[in-house]
Amino acid sequence: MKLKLLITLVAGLLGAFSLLAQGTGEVALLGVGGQNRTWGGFGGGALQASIPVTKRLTIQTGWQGLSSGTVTGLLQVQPFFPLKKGELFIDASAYYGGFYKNGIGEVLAAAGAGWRTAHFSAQLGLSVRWIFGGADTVMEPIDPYYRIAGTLKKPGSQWNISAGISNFTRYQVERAMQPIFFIEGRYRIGRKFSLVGELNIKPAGMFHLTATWYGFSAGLGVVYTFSL
Amino acid sequence: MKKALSLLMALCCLWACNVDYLGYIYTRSADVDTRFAQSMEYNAKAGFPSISVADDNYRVYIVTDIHTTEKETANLDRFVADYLADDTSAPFCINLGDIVNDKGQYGVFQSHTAPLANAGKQIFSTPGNHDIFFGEWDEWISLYHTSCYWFEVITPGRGKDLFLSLDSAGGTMGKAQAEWAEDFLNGVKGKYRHITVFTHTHFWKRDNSQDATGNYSLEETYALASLFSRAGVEVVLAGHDHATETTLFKGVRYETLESLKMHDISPGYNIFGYGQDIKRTFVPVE
Repeated sequence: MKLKLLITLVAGLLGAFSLLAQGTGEVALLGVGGQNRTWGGFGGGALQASIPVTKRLTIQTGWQGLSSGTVTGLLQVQPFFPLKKGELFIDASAYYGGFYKNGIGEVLAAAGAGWRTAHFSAQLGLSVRWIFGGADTVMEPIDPYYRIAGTLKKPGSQWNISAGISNFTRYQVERAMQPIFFIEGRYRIGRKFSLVGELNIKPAGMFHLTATWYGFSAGLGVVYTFSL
Repeated sequence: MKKALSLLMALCCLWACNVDYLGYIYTRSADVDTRFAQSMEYNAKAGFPSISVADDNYRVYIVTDIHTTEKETANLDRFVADYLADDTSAPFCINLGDIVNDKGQYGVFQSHTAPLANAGKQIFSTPGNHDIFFGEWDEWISLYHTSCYWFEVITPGRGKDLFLSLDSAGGTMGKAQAEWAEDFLNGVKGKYRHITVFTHTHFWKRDNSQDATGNYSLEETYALASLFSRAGVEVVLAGHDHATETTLFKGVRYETLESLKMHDISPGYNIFGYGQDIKRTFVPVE
C-alpha cells in the first residue's frame, strides 16, 4: 500500500515536472586533479547537472570524489528574474563534505543573491556550517560568501573564458577570509557537446598578511546540453 | 580635481598605515617548508630541552599576540612583573606568537623580558604572522633558532609532559611539517601524561570575533584535527584571534586565547595549571 502511494507520488511529481519543465539543461562529467600543501597530489572525478524546472528556475546538483578520501556534493535551487540590464538570481544551496580519511564531515546551508550580465556577474550570500567529528559538532557562525567574475565573450559563443575571485567552488565553501582565484573555459565541439575546463588557485595566509602558495585544483570534462 | 585629491588622500592614508600591502600577495619571509627545514636542522644539533619541576602540579604562564612596539609595552611589563612575583612552581612561559607588531621591534621585546631571563625563567615562543610579515624570519632564526620544536617537563611522581611548537605563522603548516608532526607524535604516544601543541593560528571559528583574520584552509583544518586526535594530543593552544574560545573536537581541547595587546577588547594572559588535569585561569591586565 505504502509502495503504491510512493510510486503514485513520484509519478505525479515527474508528470508535473514534465509539464512544467522547460529551458536548457546540462550534464557534465569532469576529471579532476590538483596539488596542495595538505594532501599533496590528488585526483578524481565529478558528475554534475543543471536541470531547468521552469523558465525561471533551475536546480543544480553535483558530486565529486577525490583520492584524498573526500566526497563532496551540492544541491542548489536558483530562481532568476530578468532585469532591464542582465538578470537577478537568488540561490539556496546545501553542501555536503565527507572527509573520510579524517573521520570528519561537514554540512553547509547557504542563501544569497546575485546579478549577472553577459560579461559580468557578482554574487553575495550568507552560509552556516556544521562540522562533525566523532561525537562532537562545531557550528560556525553565519559567514559571507561571494563571487565576482568577468566573462570575455557573449553566451552561446563558440568559446568563452571567465575569471574571478570567490570563496567557494561548486564543491567547497571556504571561510570568507580564504579567497579562491579561478579561471573557467568552454569550447563548443558540436550542437550538444562542449569541452569545459577550470582552474582554482587557493593561497594560504592572504589575511595573515603573509600570503603564500597553498594549492590548486583543475578540472577538464565534457558537457552535454539538452532542451526540455 | 576633487576626485584626484580624494584619490591622493586615500593613497596617503593607505601609505601611512603600517601595512605591507604586498604581504597580501606574497610573503617576504621564508616559506613554511624552508622555515621547517631550518628548524629541523637546528633541532638536530641542539636536541630538546628537558625541564624538571619540583612538584607534580606546576603552572605555565601563556601569553599571546603582544604586538610589541616601542610605545606599547605596558601590558608586557605588567605580565613580566606578575610572572616574576609568582613564587609557585612556574619555571617557564609560552608565547603563542605575534610577539612584535612590525619590523625592528624584537629588541624592544627582548629588553622588556630580560628580567625573566635573568631570573632563569625561560620563554618558549612560536611565531605569528606579524613575526615574519615584514621579512623578520632572519631576525627570528637568529634569536630563537627554531620555530618547530619540542620540550618536555619531568615531574617527580607522575612522569613527563610534552610541549610541541608547530609553525603556522603563514596560515599553513605545510605538508612536510604536518607529516613530521604525525610521525613524531605517533612515536611518543602513550609516553607522556599530557601532550600540548602550541601554535599561532587558531583552528575553529565559532564566533565572529576574528573578522579579519584568516585560518587554515578547511582541508588542512580537518587533516590537522584528525592528526591531533589520533596522536593523543590533549590540548592545542593558539592565539591570532585575540579572543577566547574553547572547543572540544574529536577528544582534543582547543584553547584560543586572549591577546596581551594594549587597548585590545580584553587584554590579558593565562595561567595553565598542569596536574592531574589542565586548568586555565585568565588574568586581565587593563
